[in-house]
Amino acid sequence: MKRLAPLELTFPFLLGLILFFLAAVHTFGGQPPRSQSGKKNDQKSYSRPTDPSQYVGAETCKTCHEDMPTKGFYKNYEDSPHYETTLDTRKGPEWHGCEACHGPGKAHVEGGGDKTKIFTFKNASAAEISARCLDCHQYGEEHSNFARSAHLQNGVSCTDCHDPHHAKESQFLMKEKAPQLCYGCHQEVKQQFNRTFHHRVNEGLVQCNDCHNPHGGFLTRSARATSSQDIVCFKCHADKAGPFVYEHKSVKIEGCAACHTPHGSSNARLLKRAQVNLLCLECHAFSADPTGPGAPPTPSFHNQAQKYQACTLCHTAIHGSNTDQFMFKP
Amino acid sequence: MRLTMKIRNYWLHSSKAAMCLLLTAVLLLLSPLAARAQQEEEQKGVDQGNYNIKQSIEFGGRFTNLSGDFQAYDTFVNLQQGPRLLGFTTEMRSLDHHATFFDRLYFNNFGYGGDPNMVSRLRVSKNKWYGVDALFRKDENFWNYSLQANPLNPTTPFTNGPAGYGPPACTSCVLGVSPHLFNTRRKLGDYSLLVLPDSKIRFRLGYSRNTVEGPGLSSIHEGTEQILLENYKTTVNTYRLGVDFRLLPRTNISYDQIWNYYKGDTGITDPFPNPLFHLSNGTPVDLGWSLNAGASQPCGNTFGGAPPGSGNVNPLCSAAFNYSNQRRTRTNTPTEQLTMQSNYWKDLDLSGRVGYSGGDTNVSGYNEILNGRTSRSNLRNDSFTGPVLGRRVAATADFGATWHIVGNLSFLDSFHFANWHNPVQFLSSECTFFSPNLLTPANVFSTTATLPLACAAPSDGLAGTPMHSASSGPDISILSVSHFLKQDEKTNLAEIEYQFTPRLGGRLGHRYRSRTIADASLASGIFVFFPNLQNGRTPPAPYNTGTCPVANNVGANGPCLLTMAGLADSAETQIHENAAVVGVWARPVDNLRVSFDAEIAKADNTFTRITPTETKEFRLRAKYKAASWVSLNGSVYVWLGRNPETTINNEQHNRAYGISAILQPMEKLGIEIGYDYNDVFSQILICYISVAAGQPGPGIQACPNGPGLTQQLSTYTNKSHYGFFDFTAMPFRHFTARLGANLTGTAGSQLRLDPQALIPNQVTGPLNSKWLHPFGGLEYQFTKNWTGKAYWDYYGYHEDPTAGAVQDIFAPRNFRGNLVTLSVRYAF
Repeated sequence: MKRLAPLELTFPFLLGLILFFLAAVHTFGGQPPRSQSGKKNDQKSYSRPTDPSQYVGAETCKTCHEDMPTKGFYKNYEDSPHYETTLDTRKGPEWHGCEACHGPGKAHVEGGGDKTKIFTFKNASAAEISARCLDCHQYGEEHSNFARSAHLQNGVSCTDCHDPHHAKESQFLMKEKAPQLCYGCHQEVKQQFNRTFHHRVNEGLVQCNDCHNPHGGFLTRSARATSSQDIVCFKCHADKAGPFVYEHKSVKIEGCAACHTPHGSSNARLLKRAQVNLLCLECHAFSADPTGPGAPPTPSFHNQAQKYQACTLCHTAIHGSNTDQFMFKP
Repeated sequence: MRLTMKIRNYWLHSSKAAMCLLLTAVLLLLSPLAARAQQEEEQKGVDQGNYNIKQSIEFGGRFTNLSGDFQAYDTFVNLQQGPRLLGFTTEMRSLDHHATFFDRLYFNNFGYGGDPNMVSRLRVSKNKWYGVDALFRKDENFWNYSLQANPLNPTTPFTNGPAGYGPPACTSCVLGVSPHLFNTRRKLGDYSLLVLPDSKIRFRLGYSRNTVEGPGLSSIHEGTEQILLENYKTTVNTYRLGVDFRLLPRTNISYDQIWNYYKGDTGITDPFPNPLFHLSNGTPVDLGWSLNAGASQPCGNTFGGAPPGSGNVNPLCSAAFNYSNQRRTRTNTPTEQLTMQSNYWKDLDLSGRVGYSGGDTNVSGYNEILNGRTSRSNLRNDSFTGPVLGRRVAATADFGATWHIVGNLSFLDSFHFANWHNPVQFLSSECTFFSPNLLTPANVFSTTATLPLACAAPSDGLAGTPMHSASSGPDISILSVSHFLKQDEKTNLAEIEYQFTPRLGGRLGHRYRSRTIADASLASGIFVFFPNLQNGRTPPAPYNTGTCPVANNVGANGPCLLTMAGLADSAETQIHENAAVVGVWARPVDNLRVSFDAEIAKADNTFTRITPTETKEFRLRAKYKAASWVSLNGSVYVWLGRNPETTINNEQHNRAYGISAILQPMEKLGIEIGYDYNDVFSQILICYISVAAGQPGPGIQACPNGPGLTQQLSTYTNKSHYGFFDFTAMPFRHFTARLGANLTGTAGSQLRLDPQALIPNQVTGPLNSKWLHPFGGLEYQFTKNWTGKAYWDYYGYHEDPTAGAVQDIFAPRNFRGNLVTLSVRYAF
């Protein structure tokens, strides 16, 4: 069967998907709900109304919401870290209690509990939801790039992972334990972590956010960096970081993922190939311009029918060496 | 020691401790503890003083029944039997949020008692005053998977070889362990303190520690590949001090000072002379891992030592009596970092970060000593030493901005700059002594000439003229080698984002990435050649600038001194990459969420052959809540890459398609089920040499630039099917049953080198394998606070040697493991 070349797949696939989305929205979307921030589809940063007369205070909310919408609703809130906003004595009422997130409640109360008179997260857009949360939570390196994160850009908001009222996990009010929470969307990653060779994420030793910042960052795939501004792998695998006199340059230039599949693999040592020499030969091969830049070719006496197929038997310091140009020793 | 196809049956041979534990667990399960009065408190915890306290502890024991390849089991799973603390959690919460020392405390740990993964976490905070976060992790890593560094010795017997190595077959040639086996422990600690978290100026302190310790095996290529014991010992300490300033409205500015200190004290020795491999004088030697009689490895007539037929090791062989390689590596990297985030202007979100690391590395006490022989060069003793001095300098700057142009339209820009360079220098001194065979100590040459280095003679050295061969290197080498590697990278991603409705949004952007990679080296040195052949030998490659001229001899037949002029080399690679970025997300109805994004990139150059110049990446994710009890997820991930350069012809793809469902038709029944298919493919032209005879033969192309080499398109496929289900039911009150599985099947292929005369021990490794982990368990909550649990896990690994692929001589590395974990959980 003819295998489709990459280019043949690309554009029809892309076009089809876009058309699919537009058709789906047109068909199912109906009348989009009006933005709750007042302006239609406003995705700007959240600006808190500062008129104190519009706020009623958390105790007023409690009168109706003590057991609504679920039993013990308000008690659950009282036990949560967010309740501590009610203890703040320096800031105005717009920073206190329920109304710190849901906005002023006076109209809602006077409307007899009219849901359209207060901000509810259920039908808000991801940008609106996140703007509310980030108004308090974005200050710090961890959250400062969420507005440009892959999650928000794909319509994933704070409340898709965190649940202030009904968190299953008390720590960080998570909706689900990691990594199950992440697997909920990143299914292709779940199968990788269920390979024979894998980082121990399912075992609870390593977490997704050890290597990735789910709140976004400047590096590809929201990868974190080490404290000394190196690739995140070196936080644990520090002996590979160097610097070395004789670097295996691809490690430093292209990163560990040039040879390894970091999540998991059916190949030993998470390598991209099952047999180590076939991986090495892909770079260390003769080419049309053998004197040009690039990896040196495999010597002509390296008979692959013999011990030379086990490249790392001799080249033990494959990630870099300080004393041997052939990486025979560390 | 290879322990294949045996059974480790702890059902029958369980230890006393385990039996006691089982008995205790059963007693606890049956114990009519008067805990019913606390039924109401289980969910709420207990109030004590100003705190609400919730605690749970789960303890028990695991019993294992294993068969097959235990080494593979320990490499993959490594869950052993014995008593365990399976989990312990304490949560304390101040009732009035105004406790004296802390308002919240969380402590959790699991895995203690012998599991390979142990984790403890502590979080303590007091509102407005401080927050402490401590995480300690310890993992044990066992590795004995006989593949990557294995020379895959055939069973061809050695003439006159000792038992197991001689006729009829060299059964002991087949390595029972991985040449790079290891059994290490890693301890990771991350501790941080945040002071005054809500104030305008807050302080952060942090400390991290990462240690790796434990033994492993390794090898060194000195004529042969000697077996080494590598004692891993590395430590990283990281200290952090940070201050956050929130003096301006909606603006945070942070300054961090970080100090990272790496200590590498891994040492290597060779304690493995084989008593079966001895010289005629009875001295045992290490002949290394490579034992291939047909290929004369480690040497021709390996057991041809005198007297003939004795089986003594041929004294002309390459072998080692002992070897040692010790060093102290220290890398000291201070880092300064300034970060900023601001919404000061209403329509503009800004964030930025600037960091500078200037680290020093040095290797002191480097001392490598070989006592053995390299037959090619007659090398008999070697002493190699010298300091390594280097720097690692990294400067990074990131800047991100989101400009909300109008309500629905935003412009986003992310800029990343990274520039690092590593200049490192090795000032080496090497003294080499030579002898014609393993039975003869090295000759020590005496001279009145002034030498650049005084070498200590081997303790058994004999005065005389060294017996050099034409391939012998210098007797004394002093080298200064400097290497410099640098990368300058700039990436800018500019996007227009538009939210059509609250249910539909999209973005379109352009990513530009520019990289300049510079590489330079400079070497200079002095070489001393003692007689004999002092004018017929050369320095080793790549410093081989010719033989030492007679004019450089000191005296009539004295040593020859060769000074190598600076040997410089440099290269620079520039890569420019442009990419189109597109993304759409939609929520057509409340219950359906879909997102799609794609990136199509093209670069004008690459640094490695395996890095594609053209890539395309597509991601589609959908979540549909069809009913209150049905949730469906689907995802498509496609990555395509290629480098159409005719000498490379690289094409790659990675496609993953997944679907899953979460069903809860009734309150007491939950099902999660899913399937994922992953298809990985790669092709690239490679040149190599294999079984020499007949290459290149019919249908096999000769390598255009490698005489005698074969060129083939190296293909690799890996198709994996992964299915899982997790079924939970509560048929009776307080009773929970669970059944599930994670099942992976992999089928793949790779290039078979030399298709005309198959290499008998070429491996496909685990490319055709099944990895099965079904599990099930019962839980019974016999009082409000006490729950008894009994869980079963099965781990099965099966390599299929009949799947049309050649398997290595160790395959299959199959194992089966039945694990039963009995535990009791007490919670209040």
